[in-house]
Amino acid sequence: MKILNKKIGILSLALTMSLSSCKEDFLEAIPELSLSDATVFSTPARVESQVIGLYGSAKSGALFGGRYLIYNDIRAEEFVNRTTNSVTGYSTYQGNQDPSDTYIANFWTQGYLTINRANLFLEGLAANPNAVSTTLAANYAGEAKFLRALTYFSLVQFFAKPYALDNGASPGLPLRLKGETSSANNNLARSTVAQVYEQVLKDLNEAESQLPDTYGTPLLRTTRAHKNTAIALKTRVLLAKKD
Amino acid sequence: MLGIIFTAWQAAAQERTVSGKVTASEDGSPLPGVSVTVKGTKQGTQSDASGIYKVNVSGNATLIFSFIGTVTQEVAVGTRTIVDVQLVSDNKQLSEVVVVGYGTQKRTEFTGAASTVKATQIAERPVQSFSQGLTGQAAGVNITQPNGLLNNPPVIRVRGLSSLSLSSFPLVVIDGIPITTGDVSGNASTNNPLGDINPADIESIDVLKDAASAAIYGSRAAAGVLLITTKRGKSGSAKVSIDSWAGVSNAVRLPDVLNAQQYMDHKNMAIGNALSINPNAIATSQRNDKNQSFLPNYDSNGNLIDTDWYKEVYRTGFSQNHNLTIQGGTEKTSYYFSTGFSDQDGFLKANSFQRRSGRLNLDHQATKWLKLSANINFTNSMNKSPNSGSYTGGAFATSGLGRIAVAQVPNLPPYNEDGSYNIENNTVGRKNNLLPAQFPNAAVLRDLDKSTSETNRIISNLGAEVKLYEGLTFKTTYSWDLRNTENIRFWNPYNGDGWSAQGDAYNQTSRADNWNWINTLQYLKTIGEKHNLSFVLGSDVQKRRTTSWGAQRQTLADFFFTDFQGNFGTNLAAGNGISQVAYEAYLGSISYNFAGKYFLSGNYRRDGNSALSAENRWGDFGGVSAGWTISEEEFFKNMALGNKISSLRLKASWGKVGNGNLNNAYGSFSTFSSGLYGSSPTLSFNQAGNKDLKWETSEQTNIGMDISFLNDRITLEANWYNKNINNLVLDVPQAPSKGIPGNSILANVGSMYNRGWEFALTAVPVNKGGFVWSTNLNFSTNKNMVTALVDDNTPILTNTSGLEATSITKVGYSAAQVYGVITHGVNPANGRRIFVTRDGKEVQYLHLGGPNAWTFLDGTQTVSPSSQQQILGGTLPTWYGGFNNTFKYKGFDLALNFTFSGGNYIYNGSKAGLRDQRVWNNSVDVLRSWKQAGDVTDVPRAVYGDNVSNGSSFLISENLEKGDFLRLQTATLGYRIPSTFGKTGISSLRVYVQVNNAFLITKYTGVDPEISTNGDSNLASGIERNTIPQGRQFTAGLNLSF
Repeated sequence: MKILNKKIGILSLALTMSLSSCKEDFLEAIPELSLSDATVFSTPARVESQVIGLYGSAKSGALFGGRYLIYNDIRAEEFVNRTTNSVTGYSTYQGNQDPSDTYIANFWTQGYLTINRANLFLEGLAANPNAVSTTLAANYAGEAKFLRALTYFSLVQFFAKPYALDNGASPGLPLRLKGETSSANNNLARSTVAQVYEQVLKDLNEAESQLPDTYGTPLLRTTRAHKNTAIALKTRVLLAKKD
Repeated sequence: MLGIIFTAWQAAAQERTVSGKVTASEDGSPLPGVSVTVKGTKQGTQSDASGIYKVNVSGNATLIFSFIGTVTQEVAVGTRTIVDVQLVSDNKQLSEVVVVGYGTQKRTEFTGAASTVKATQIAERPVQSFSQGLTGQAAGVNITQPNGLLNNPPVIRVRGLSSLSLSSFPLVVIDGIPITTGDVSGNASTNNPLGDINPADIESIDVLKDAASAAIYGSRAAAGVLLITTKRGKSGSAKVSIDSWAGVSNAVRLPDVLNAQQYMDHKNMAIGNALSINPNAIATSQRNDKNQSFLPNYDSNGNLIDTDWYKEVYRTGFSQNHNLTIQGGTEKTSYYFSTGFSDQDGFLKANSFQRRSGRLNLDHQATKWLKLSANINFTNSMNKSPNSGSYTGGAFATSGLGRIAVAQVPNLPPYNEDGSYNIENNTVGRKNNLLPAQFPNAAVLRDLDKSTSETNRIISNLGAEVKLYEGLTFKTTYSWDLRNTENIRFWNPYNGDGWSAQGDAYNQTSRADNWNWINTLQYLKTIGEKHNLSFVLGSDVQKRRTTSWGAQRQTLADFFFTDFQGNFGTNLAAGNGISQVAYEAYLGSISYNFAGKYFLSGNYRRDGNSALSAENRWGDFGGVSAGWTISEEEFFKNMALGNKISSLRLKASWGKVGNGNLNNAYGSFSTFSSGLYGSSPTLSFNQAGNKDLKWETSEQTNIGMDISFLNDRITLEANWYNKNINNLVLDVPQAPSKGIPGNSILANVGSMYNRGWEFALTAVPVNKGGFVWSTNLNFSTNKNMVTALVDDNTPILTNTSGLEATSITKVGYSAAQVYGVITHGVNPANGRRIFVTRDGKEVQYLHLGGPNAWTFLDGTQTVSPSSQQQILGGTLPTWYGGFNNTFKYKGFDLALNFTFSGGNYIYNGSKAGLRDQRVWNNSVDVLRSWKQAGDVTDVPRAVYGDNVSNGSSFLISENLEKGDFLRLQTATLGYRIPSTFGKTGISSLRVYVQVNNAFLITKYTGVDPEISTNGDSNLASGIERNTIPQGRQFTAGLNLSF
């Protein structure tokens, strides 16, 4: 038997080994619902969205949007555990911040997620100097530093001994000031409480000089940090230091 | 010249015609296309559409009848001119054809390791999904139904665990197209996409186990491959068959819980004990002057209210299933058409599964060189379920009916006297009790909450086969699998999950568009009679795009509304997603055999996967195998042994396959998610990608032997395998202080192996006087060992349903070990649970003991041992199998299929709940709780509120149990009514009764040793937590054909 038809034969071989559907980009899959890290400084609007994202991160229910307040209320002994609840906030109530308690772990994690996002933003802003105007860049950097300071200050109060006890000589928190996106740098020793306070005050001083005096709308004045916000927080930090 | 004439004359003189009819022994139906040859000659024919054959024979001839899927029969003609034959279907492992990747191969030439399960073993049994029929049928394949929730996806493992982070579920290929597996429901109902396949349409399931056979599926084959082939028409007049069954199912092995009186007595005793430790333990308002908090309630007739919550949750479920099949064809065109209807009610109230399906498979020989085929399958599957708490991730749902059924307070009624629901806040109303209950009213959840998942699905294939040249065939197949799933959830505002939101509705629809185009060029050639060569070249592209969208609505404007479409105060976006994965592959395979004695084959596949970064997208996979059929050798045939052994073959294979079933289609990207802060848009870093991520690879060696004795009456297939899995993709935990979203980054870091033996023994021990007993015993062993993990081999800890740390995976152990604190029973002196620290110190617990809560046995204070967990036991079975027996006598057939498994431990977490001393009801075990000094018992002193002593707070070894079991999976008794149907046209009628899960022998005290609260999880298997049990099903059915 002969090959039926040369054309069919050639077509068959062509079909088998090459693929029609296979345009160059057949295997390119780009996420359609989230933005690649390469594009987040490409417009001024995206830069501002990132700043607002830092507030959103801080306001998460696991942090300032809920747990921070609840845990501090519990620590302040404003509650008595009458209904034998042994889950939510129980290890805070018992005074042992057990890392195996997922609620406590989430609190810590959300705190550091906010810090890392602030760190990444500050680095990105420095790497993309033309993304927004110099004034705006300074304002945004001030906001990121303010939020980083607020978060470190809250975590150090929660997970370390009070500064006033020994002038901050006791172990504090791992002090992360660089953005993390890879598997490196897992090991970082805890800084002392004093070093954490020092960084908090440094951030707040810088924020104070970079933040705008005020904003144009009542909404922005109450939801975004401005100069007085940084000063107000600084007084609290100094109060906690007994300075 | 003269000689030739003479011979011809002689032949003509003795030649005569023999005719007869070939039928199937199962149902008496005619078998067309049976090859009939005269032994020792080249003469032969085939039976026609009605099973009739005619052949010329001479002298004392013997006819050989052979047909795919039946036992070849030799019949001495003698002086007869009519020889009718009944062919027995062949269920043994060494049946003729194995479906391998991109083609089929003769079993005798196949040198890999594969198990074939035929329709008769799966479809002709009342099963919901084919995976249930597959249980215990194939060596090396372990199937677990997680529990009795209808259409809950099974857990299927081929030769052990294949991955830690990625799926260990085998690739499922239906008529060529790989389909998705897992639960596609977005709510408490479960929706197994494999349930969309009507089991009655399945012709065979081939499980490719060794890497050399699976390697043709390259990067997708690491967990083995299940090739499902649907039935096709056979030429001949239309054959109609109707298969129907109906049955009932009930929950079995539910724990015995306290009745109302026992409950009140026990809990009040526990209240007293609590007060003796701490006089302020229970507020005075929550107890009466006798220090009782649980007081009797009476109905209007003055009877004590004693609610059996099981009756509110469980029922006798009724199921029915009907299939109609019409098949037939002409010489050129054949068709298979079927419709199926299955309506199943679970033993869990309000749980149901309905499947309506239709299938048309067509084959047409258009010209001598062109063959066309088309399949179209439409299915509608409707899954309904209340919140059972028995789907993956649901174990601790406070609205989980599995848990509420055992834990709800029994002296409280579900309804008030006026017929309204007894509710109070978000629980059942407390009535006379002075302490509130903790769980919602099961009756409200059952009646008013709804979760459904409905799939409409088309799976179709269009194929053409072009014969280009003798032996050279080009084949192209385009397959399309379009699935639309609508998930609907409504939570009522009165009680349960919708209470705090004042009504909550969540609808989501998802659409999965999956297409696949395969082109192959196949060449078969025999050179010089003895050299048999074949090769396949091909390409395979597939794209799967899944889009979903939905919304959640909360706070009902009026409780009148019971649907998403009603009026709500809050509207939230929910359940939106887009995901796309593309695969592109080029493949080749070659096989050669010499005279049916020596076999060599190899295959290769180059695979591209869009879920990996451009640098690591392409991977190379392949395998080689060799075989030697010793029984074909002359020296063997001449040996004395050769007479007893009818065939003997050795085979070996090696291959490398991959696992690229990444959970995240975009894992190589670092991304920012867009959100809202108030009404302002936000961008937040949400994923740390890894561009270095590549395939997990699995290298497997298989050494096997096929041997059969006494004319194939006994056959044994034995295989040894060693599967090394490297580059395991793991979520590498990151220091939480780094602030990496999710605290982990995927990386290729770990390795593990699976090793084991597989034996499949098939025999016909008795075949005498019309009585046939055929049996199949398969037995597999598996040793799983994790050999490397992240960086410094940090063990992986895994939670059950996100709450309870239950499992650990650690180097030097099999994966998914139970991880908890060792306990040493109860201290007879004071009734306290004794825990053991890692350094072996015994610590006892006194609930409400304040600073004395944890003490050494001498009374000195210490701290909680909750962080003193140790590895308690492995959860992966080390041996398992099935023992399947069929007995036939005249019209009767009896099938007994046993399954067994063991060598594993199960953490019976439900036991922790059953002995928890909060307001929850307890199992009757607590009646033997410690009461006075000197009591030797396994249940500690009951102290109200104690959630530590029995394992609710953290895992304890008290609740660890062995998981060995033997189950009579199915017992079927059938009777084929002798064919005396006259003019009705009925050609065959069989009636049968069957019991599923007929009995279970195990020492395990939980609901069932075949359990998986965590579903398909690799890292947290072997956990039972608040799960509904398995059912026992009685069915009666009939198979009718015309």
